[in-house]
Amino acid sequence: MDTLPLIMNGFSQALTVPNLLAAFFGCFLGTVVGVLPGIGPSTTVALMIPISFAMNPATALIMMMGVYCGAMYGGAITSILINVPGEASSVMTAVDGYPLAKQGRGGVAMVLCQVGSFIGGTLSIVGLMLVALPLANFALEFGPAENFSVMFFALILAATLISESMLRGITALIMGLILTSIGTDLQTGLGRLTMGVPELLDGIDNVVVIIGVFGIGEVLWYVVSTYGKEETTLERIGAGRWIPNREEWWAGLGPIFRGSLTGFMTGLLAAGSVLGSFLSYSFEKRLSKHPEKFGKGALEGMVACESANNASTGGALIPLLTLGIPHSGTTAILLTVLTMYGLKPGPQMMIDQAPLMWTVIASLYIANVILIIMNLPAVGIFIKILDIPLKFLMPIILVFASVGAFSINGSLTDVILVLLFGVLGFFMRWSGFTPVAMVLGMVLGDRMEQSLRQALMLSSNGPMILLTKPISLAFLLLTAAIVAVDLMTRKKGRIADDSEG
Amino acid sequence: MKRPKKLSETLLPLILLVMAGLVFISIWRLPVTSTADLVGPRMYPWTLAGLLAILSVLLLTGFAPSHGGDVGITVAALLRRFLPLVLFSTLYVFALPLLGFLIATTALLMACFYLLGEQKHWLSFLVAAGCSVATYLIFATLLGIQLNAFPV
Amino acid sequence: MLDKTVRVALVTFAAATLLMVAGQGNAQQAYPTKPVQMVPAGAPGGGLDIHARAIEQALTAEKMLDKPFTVIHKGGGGGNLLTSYLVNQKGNGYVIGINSNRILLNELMGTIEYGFKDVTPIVRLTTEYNCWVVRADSKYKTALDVLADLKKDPTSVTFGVGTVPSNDQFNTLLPAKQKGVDYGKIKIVVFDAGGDAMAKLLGGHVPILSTGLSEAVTQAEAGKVRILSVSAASKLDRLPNVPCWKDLGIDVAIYHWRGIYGPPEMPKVAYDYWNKKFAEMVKTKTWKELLDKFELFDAFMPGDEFTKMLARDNETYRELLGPMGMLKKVKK
Repeated sequence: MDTLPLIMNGFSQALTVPNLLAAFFGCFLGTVVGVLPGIGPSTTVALMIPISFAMNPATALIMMMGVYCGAMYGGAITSILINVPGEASSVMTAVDGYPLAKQGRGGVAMVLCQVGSFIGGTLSIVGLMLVALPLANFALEFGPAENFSVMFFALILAATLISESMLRGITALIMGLILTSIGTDLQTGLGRLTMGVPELLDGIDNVVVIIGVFGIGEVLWYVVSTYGKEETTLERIGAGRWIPNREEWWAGLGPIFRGSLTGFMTGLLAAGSVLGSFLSYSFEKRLSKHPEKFGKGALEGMVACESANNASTGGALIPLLTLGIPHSGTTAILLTVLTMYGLKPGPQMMIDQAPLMWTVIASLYIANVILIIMNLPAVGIFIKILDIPLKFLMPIILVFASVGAFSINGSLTDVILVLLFGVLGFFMRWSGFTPVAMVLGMVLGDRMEQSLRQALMLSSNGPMILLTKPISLAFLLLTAAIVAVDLMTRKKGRIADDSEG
Repeated sequence: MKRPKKLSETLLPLILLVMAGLVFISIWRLPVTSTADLVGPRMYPWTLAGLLAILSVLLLTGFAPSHGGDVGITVAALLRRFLPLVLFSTLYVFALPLLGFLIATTALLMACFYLLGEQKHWLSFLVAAGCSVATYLIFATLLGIQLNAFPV
Repeated sequence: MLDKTVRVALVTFAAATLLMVAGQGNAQQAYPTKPVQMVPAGAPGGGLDIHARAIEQALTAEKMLDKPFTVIHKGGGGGNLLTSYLVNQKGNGYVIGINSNRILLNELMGTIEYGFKDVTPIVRLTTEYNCWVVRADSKYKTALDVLADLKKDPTSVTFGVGTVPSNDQFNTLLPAKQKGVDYGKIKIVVFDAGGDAMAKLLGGHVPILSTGLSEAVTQAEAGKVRILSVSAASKLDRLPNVPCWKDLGIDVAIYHWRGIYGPPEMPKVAYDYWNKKFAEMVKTKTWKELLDKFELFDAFMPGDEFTKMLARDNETYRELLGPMGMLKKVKK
């Protein structure tokens, strides 16, 4: 199959006026959705289904691709400005982005994130075009045993990253793991830890926990910690400059490309964008010459993770386009949309529906270009939010977080939960716990348990399945190596710390 | 070994210890299911609850002292700032369906602004009402979230 | 404590919504005099939402829609949110819900105290079928081979399904039970819905799936998988080479149906109206086209038959799930 004419045809289809308008609208809506906490790209795409009835398939798909990409771009903005990540994949962006904003470098952070998003997003589409088929087959190699080992690897990698207090970090991680076991147990259909609340049968949405612990937690922390110190309190954060200098561009360059690669590869797996952002962040911290700055406003980790979560879009589309199998989330809704237009999603889709599929791929490029053009100037506007006096900004964040939580399912239960998690987030800050570790536990925990149980049920020789599968074994060995290296270096580090203190 | 003195070091671990207990009991009450699933739905939460209990006991005994974080948090700050804010937010959740989004949100914002020391009520009101309308427009009008603007 | 708070909040909210709905008109001479709420028990984009959209589209296109619908989603809680919503709307003729057999299963499992008797089943509308699928290179050529292996050792073949309790699961248990297999011992692994199970089958991680037909058909057409059996009562036109259970000498047919429910004590005028309306709708060309598009099959059944079927199915499920320990413990 000669792809070049197909691509050209795709571009000529995508570049018509109505399609460009659709792409533009999709990108705008996606960015808004990404910026706002709560409602995510998959819900938005689903809400667009009735509107898209009236459009032709190509136009509707282009618009939806715009939403999908736009949400990934927008996610960085609120994470950096007000410490409210809209979804799990931008948590790591907030970890360094918000401290950067407090240092007056919020604009710089946003610009670098947008550029990283653009490069990550574009590279992943190139990857999607060039190596979709071999990668799809590689993705199929990941069974329950492999999935468990990857999750375990990510979890251990994250645990060793916690710098403040190991014991507290692990406790937070376990809190997250317990939180994910709330809800219907996949293997038995039984409700666990639901306390008789029907909404909890679906589990607690990660986003609710994230908005609560980060957003509302931060508001409560600000409000309490400034009490009685009004005269020394910062009145407003202040916008600061937003054009990165040469040094900052240079610092961001490597992470962007490394993050893109990690994101693209993990995008192939379910929960890919989250996994990708966490993994690329921890890779950067390990590679860095100044790991102690991570979490206090290091550009590298943040940029890598933003590039990674955009790069995951290309990776996540691979199983959908080549095999007709969606991951859950936005790609699953896209599958519904395809069905609605009378397409039969399946392995033949790329051949039977080649013109449409290539139009979609071309529209991904266009969406990325529109987004970078649209969002870079927008940084100059968004940054003004930091000029709002904190006594006004903080309560507004409270409202935004609550409404955001409500928007997920239109349920007041989520608003109550978000407040509860806000209180928890406050106590965690107060006692020196890492909320990030808890979120990571939440994101990976459920899949880890289910994968393990699936693997054991499918195994003919019990837990040995984890060691007999080559990919699984490789990840477990890698995990062991990292732990070993860390134990040795950590000991040395401790001694150095002691001699200093 | 130091004895923990600060409230911040004991409060959360104590809560976690209780939580671990609750998790244990709640999981214990699950019905026993088919034998095909070797691990079962209980093993994982139980293991975690056990670990959480051990860790919280370690934290309670002051095994790993906190590196701070509670700088300057006083009981007065908790009473005068934390409690009112949590109270306002809780009231807000109940007020939403009764008063409608615009009134409830404006009221919450004004209460919070006052708590944070804003004395000019008219300014408070303008900012609060403006934000409520803007939030409503974004979420309800643009994104189509079903929010009631006014009491029904 | 949390429990109570949440319930109070929910009841308040439900009451507020009710007031809003009820306040819009009182004249009841003709039905309907105002928009009707249609509530799929799933999130936008899911299977039940598609039903809502299809009904709306068919009635609109055929000019049969007397008053517009307002579609409200009560996804979550495995359909329980819809059931409790309907129960709270007692006597209201302006709400209809769309749900599957979860309404039976959830009560049996004890995740909710209401069942089909606590709402008004209006009609059964559509169905999908389930099937057994293996990879194209599998040693199993027919479903009977699999059943023979299961008969020897129920743990010898592990099935992958998308969720439990579900028709995917019953489509494994019922044929096995008929063949005298100790079905409680069959290993059933649950994967995430949304294609995860199919990916695991294609990757060779699980030997056989019991899954929805539409997922398997395109893969079969591409020659990647083989469909061993389909749960319909007779062979399907689209798959002339795939036997149904009856062809294999097994008296099993499983419908993965979707039905329309109303609140308890729904006014008779509303109940009759919708029974008639849907009976007409399923005969239209638009509806048939939509069914084809979404790979659904017509399974229309008027209210009285539907209610009897629910009672029958409820007993079948109870018998199946009981020995597996999945039923709610009966309180003394």
